[in-house]
Amino acid sequence: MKKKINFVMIGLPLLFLFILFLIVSSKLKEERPSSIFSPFLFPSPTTVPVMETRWSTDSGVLKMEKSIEELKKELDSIILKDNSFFPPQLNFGLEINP
Amino acid sequence: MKKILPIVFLLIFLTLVQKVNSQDIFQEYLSTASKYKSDYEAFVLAKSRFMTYKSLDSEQEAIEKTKAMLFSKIELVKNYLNLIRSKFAAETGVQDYKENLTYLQLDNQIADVLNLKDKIIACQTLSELNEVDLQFEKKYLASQKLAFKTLGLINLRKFTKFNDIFSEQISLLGGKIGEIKTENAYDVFLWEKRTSELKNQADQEKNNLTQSSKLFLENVDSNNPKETYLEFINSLEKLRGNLVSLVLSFQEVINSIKKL
Repeated sequence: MKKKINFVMIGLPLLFLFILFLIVSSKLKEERPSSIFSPFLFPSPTTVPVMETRWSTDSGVLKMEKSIEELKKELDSIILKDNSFFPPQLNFGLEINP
Repeated sequence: MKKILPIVFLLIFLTLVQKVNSQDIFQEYLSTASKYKSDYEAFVLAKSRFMTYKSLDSEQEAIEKTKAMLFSKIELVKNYLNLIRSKFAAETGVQDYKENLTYLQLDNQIADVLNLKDKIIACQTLSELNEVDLQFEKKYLASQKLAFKTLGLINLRKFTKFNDIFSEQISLLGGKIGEIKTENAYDVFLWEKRTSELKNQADQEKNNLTQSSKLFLENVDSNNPKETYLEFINSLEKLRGNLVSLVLSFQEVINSIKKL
């Protein structure tokens, strides 16, 4: 009887808290991947710090990079051999001999 | 803010209307294509009956079905040219008649094809209808030439824009390398050499585009406009491959600059 009371009084609240922790952690992981709770459950891969140089952050260089990236996208996406706008095939000459 | 809102709403409305219009034109074209197909089948059936029975009734029916088929064919060509017209407007952004003759040529061609309607109404016999159909064939060849020319012009404008963007970026890259040289006292000889090579290659591609478009515009009025158009497309395909290579080389230079 005593064991049953201990389980109900202590075990169930602990189980409830654990489930609540799991739910909160997973929500935080979705919204804020760098949350302090998330590493316990979903360890993220180690991030390598990006080396910043004088010219890697230069606005002119970044602008050129963006423009050329957009140009490449346009060149990749253009469909030249599209015949859906070709003139329709029509028949001419009635070929009737009255 | 209150003054700007109506303008914003108007712009959104106009954009939506334009989008709906081009979809409507395409749907209209598809439905006339379907109508022409069914009218042509009815014409073939009536023709077959007339050839078998040679009666006055079957002749009258053949005349009616031929007229209906020819009207559908005219509508189909008109809607096709309208579709090409809307594609040209949507893809080039050219809206002004004065800026481009293509609209005028397309409108004249549509009017020319529509003129055949009066001739069909006036026809009394199958021989007369046959004569109008042969005239229509000539007009349709002219319509096809104009359609392929317009499709070619759409692609030409796109590639001219691509070449211009690349040349502009090459020029900016040259300026940036000069800036790096001044600021870092760094040996930029290899970058300068590569940029100069890229500029020469881009100029070469510009010349190639000029040559192939000139050839296309000279030959599209021939009796095989489709073949001329496909040859032009092949040259543009080659140009696209070369431009992609140039873009990749450009990106290599940018990446090495970023590491400095």
